[in-house]
Amino acid sequence: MDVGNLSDLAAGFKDLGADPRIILMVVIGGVLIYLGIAKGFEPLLLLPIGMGIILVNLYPPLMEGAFEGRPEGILAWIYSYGIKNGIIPLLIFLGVGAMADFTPLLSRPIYFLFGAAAQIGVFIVFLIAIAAGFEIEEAACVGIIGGSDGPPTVYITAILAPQLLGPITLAAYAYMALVPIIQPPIVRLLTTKKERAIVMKPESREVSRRGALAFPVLSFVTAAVLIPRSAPLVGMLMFGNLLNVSGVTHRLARSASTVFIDVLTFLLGLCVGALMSAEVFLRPQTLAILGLAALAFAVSTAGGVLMAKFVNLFRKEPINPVIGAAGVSAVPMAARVAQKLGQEANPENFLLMHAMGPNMAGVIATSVAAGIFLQILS
Amino acid sequence: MSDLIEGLRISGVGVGAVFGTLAILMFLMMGMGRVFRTDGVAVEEVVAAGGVEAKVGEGPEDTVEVAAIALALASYMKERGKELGGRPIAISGVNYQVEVGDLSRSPVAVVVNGGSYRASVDGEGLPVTEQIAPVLGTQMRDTQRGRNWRSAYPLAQGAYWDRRGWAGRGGLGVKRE
Repeated sequence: MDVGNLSDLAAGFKDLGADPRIILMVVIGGVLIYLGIAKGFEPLLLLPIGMGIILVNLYPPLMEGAFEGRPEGILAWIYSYGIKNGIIPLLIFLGVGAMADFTPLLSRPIYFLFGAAAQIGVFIVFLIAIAAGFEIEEAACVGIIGGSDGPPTVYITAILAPQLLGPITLAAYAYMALVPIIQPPIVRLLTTKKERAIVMKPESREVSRRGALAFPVLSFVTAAVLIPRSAPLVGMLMFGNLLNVSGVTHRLARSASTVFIDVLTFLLGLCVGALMSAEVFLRPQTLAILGLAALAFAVSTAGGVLMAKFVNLFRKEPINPVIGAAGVSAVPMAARVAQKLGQEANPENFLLMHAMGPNMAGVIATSVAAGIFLQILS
Repeated sequence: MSDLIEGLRISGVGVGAVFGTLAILMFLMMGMGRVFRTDGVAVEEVVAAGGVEAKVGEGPEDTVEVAAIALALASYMKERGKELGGRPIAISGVNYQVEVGDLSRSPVAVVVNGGSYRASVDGEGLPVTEQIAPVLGTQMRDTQRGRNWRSAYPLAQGAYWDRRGWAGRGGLGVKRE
């Protein structure tokens, strides 16, 4: 028996002792897994991300060659051919489209404006990030977190600032899970109880099948003509939605919105976690990203609420401004928060389906904002 | 500094482009809403045609349910300035002769195939027509949207319809005389 090989078995312990940051990263991975399981915070993402962090920090060869274009480890392969070129985030967006119901948005098209207003945090934090010393491409990726939409954030970061993919993706998904904590104080600050108690009637008009069919096509064409670099994101989203509303591709829509998106989601989560090695993650820059992301969320929420209040100046039948907060596209958490806040102010208030309108508008708006950054910066 | 100026330029263009794109989509959808308008058609068309389409096996369980449906139809049509009158309604292929009394007086009398019912809200009578009709009209449409919509607008915004009749807080108590 070769005694040298036996001593290699303890190499892992030696590495742990040599770099205590590895232990810290394993703890961070464990905390994410705990939050996913015990607290139910985005478990579909935090579990794979947490596992990816633990795996790559305990066994770095899993990501060997990922950044040199010569992948050798299994996670390096998935990263190089699935995430770095944007395939996985785009295909996830296809699944999101297949799950999406745009009916609340189409029944009151004014909600498009709330989704647009909720992107204000993206651009304000983009500027703050530049002032804080981030490169302009990195600042765009930090700002887009304010849109609260995972796939566009991953897509644009993989192209513009792949070195920040780990912390930015973690911040985006972590804050999405924290929407019920971040949004209520901001909404309460910007609205009176009387405003939050405004009862809204159910949808003002029904959406015909032809209207539902025309929407994805028209949206894609509009986005592709105006902001060509948003075409991949909006195109995938709308293609998925077309599968859903066409009524003739039930099997495809069901596959896209279930097994297909599930497989891609855990591959994405695992790889994002694997990008968080100790030397990449434990830097002051990561803390700055987490802080700026929180600010982006807060400003975007405020933007949506203020837009709803502004629109009310011109309407006979007022809109409950709380639903403006759902313009950040954390679907459906932001809509649930609006429902909860509305009902808190008036138990007879049911805002969920109204809030889904700005919520879906936010998904489109974030894709457009990401397309604008790509158009100008890449 | 030059990065910040460039950032300001990008932000200005970006905000404008996001609002511009979504505003265009908004106007397109408003236009489509006019072209493909459907609201208010379903119930009136089926009543005028003398029948309400439903899947086999999903018809009302008894005439109390028919009374509730008739009341909803009458309120919905009243909202649009029309009368149900003495026209028969058909549910799951079965015709029912119904008459609905004055909606502005409480309780409202509903007659189904000769059986008489009286409807009121929480035993106190219906609100005046102008208030109740839009709510009932909307709810009648909402019942066609499936379980998710009903669960989004449960109870407190008024009654909702299920196979056991109008239910929920503020629901219409439809009672056989």
